[in-house]
Amino acid sequence: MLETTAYTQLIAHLRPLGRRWRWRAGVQAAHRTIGIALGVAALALIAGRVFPFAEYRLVAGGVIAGWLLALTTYHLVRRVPPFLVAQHADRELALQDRLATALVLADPRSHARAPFDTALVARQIADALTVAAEIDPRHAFRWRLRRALILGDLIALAIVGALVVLPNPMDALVAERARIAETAQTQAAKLEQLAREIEQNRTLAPEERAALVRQIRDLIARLAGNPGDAKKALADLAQFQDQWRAQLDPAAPTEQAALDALARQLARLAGAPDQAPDATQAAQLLEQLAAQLEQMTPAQRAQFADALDRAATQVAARDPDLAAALAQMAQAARGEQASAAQTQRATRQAAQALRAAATDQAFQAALARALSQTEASQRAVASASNSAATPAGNSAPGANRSTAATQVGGGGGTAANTLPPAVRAGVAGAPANPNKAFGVSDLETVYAPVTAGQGRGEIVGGQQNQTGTTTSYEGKAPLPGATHSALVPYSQVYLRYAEIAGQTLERAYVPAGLQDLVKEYFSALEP
Amino acid sequence: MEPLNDPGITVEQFTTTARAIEREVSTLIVGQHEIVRQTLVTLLAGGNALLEGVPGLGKTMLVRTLAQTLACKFSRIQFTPDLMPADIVGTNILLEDASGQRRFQFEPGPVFANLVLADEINRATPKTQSAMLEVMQEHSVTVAKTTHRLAEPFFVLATQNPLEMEGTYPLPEAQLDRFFFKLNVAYPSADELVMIADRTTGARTPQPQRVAAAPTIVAMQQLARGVPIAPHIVQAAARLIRATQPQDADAPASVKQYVTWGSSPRGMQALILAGKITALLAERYNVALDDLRAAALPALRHRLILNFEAQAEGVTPDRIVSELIETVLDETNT
Repeated sequence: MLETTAYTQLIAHLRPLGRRWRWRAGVQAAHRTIGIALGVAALALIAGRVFPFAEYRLVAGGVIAGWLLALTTYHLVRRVPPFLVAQHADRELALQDRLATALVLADPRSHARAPFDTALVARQIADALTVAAEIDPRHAFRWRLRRALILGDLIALAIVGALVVLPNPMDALVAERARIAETAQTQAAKLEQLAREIEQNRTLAPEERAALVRQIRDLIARLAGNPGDAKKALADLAQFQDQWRAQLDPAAPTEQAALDALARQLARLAGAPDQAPDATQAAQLLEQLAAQLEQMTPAQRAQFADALDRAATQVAARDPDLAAALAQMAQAARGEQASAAQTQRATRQAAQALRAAATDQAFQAALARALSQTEASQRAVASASNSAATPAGNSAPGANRSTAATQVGGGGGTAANTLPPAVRAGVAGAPANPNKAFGVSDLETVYAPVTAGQGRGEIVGGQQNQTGTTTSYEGKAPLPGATHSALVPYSQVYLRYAEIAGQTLERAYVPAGLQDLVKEYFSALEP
Repeated sequence: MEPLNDPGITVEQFTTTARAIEREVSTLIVGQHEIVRQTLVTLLAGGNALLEGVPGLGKTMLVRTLAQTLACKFSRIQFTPDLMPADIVGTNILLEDASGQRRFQFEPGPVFANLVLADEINRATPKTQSAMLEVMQEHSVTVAKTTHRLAEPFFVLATQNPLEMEGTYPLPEAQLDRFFFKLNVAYPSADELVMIADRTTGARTPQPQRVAAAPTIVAMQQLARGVPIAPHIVQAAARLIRATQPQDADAPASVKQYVTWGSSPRGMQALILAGKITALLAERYNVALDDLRAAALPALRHRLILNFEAQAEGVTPDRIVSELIETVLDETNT
């Protein structure tokens, strides 16, 4: 009973000492380890100045927060047995192991007192209680802070503070990468929208549609996974641009214009002059007019045949089958086909050819839209990477598709090559109907012939021979106003001119005051 | 285990008596406070002490003075090479009584005293030295199959001269281990020499007073054994003793390099008993690590057997023990 009371009293004396000791141990542990935490944080901050990673401040803060949390948790959760407190108090207060010995001897669960003199044990415990009662816990455990360590901690703190406060050049690069990644995501979303539209376009041939959508989705995946690397994004865009541009027929707009003209003519002949039918509707009108051929006046038949002949001539270069079918239909319209069966066959063939041409035109339009979207994405990515003045397509690997066409300074170019993109006002064959394939503004066509001797070969229709086939020859420098591949989408023309302007700004001397003017001019013209 | 019987003496009496003994010894012995204290500790622990020092440092005077203060029977044995065991422990002599009947009677030797000074013990032959083994350990003498108990308290204080080693017989390890403490008597300082001159060359020589009798010393010895010691202190002592063994994994490098054999368990007993007495002398009722620290050198220095490398490099047992105190006891304290 006596021992139990003494033990309780000893524990009561040791409790405030234990709190004091735990508090000091925590502070001293912090004192010993803060240098490590600050050092690691400083390393993270330095790494953030050497390598572009955005989370370096977070890592540095996390290190310090983690250190603080671990330290606090450890010292809150840590169990400090009374015996340990007694030992520390004995040592630091020079109590000659009085408290620890008394704690063991007074513990009712312990048999440590058995071998010793009972009176001496009692006096030892009483002595320890007396000593314990005289201890002021506030002064029991003194701080033991090392000056050298404090100095080191202050230096580390100053370094960390300086690294946090001083501007980091890598921040701009990190921000640029974030912008690029965000732009790539945005462009991926736009491409996804385009892919969905193409998926819903039933005019396209299923296999062509699936292939194109697959390619677009592949590009979307690459852009979505882009970590902010402008070169990679531009290279990906350029790679798909090359693929699509290779499939894009430069003569398709010409054929489209011819088919549009034929459709309008057929609509007029069918008594609906205000309609603007597409190629598929034109095929129906053709069948309808063929069925009414017997009721037509000679003048109407001649007008019908002329329209078909004109269209045949215009599409002969790109689509000889359609041209032949239209020519045969024109002959039938003039009455040169003797039998009705022959007329019907010619009508059927012409209608089929028109429908096939409509499908082909739809694919070309889809390609053009994809191409246009990737070009817009290129500009957006280039702009995000602070190099909008230099179109990224040139800097990206494999982006050589338009180089030849844009080297206007190479010599021998026509006067039209130097025309500003403002010639958009003189668009030829721009469809007014937004439902048509080239109805979007950035797909408007402008005159932009290739440079003589350097551009792609142009195919122009030739004379028909006696066997009904069409011969052709390659033209190197078509004249202004020609209705073939010199008419290209405005967005492409803009890109080429913007490239040239950017290169000129970089390579040639342009007064500083005028450089911004040039940039603003092209920004204003951006489709 | 049952508590010890009442020793019949209080702590205050213990302290008072011990201080009185020290005070009285100091009337003749100048300086050497540490030696006096450690001799007293040895006496109160019921052990034996080996004093090593050059001649003339007062070793004999110390023991004689101690005997005077204790009112105990004192005898001095001057060990020489021709000294025989019977000269020490005693022998049976043939006596003839008045009726003409002859019988053997045991004639006790000089060891039958309370305080025995074995002067220059290393000059006797090993045979004679070994005669002291039973005396020192068992406090008894066996002659002709008859064991004779020695009176308590029994205290052997042996001296040896570190110089003049020619013709000496170094004490065997078994006998060294039976010494509770080995005390190195240092040369006095200039001031102490002056005081020695004053006290010993004057007209009157101070005479120490008797302050304790033999029963008091026995009671003090019994009380000292009842002093509590916490398990963690005992464990520290055990670690210290283990660390003296070069085979021990935790032994310091110096022990592994220089020590052939470390302390026996008697070393730990000496350490703890000395700690208890030191605690009581400090009016404390428990043994502290500092008490072990104070007792470590005299209790262990003669229990370490150093190898040839240590002797060649001039490494002393004191240096090894000091390192052990730092590495084991101080480590325990942190």
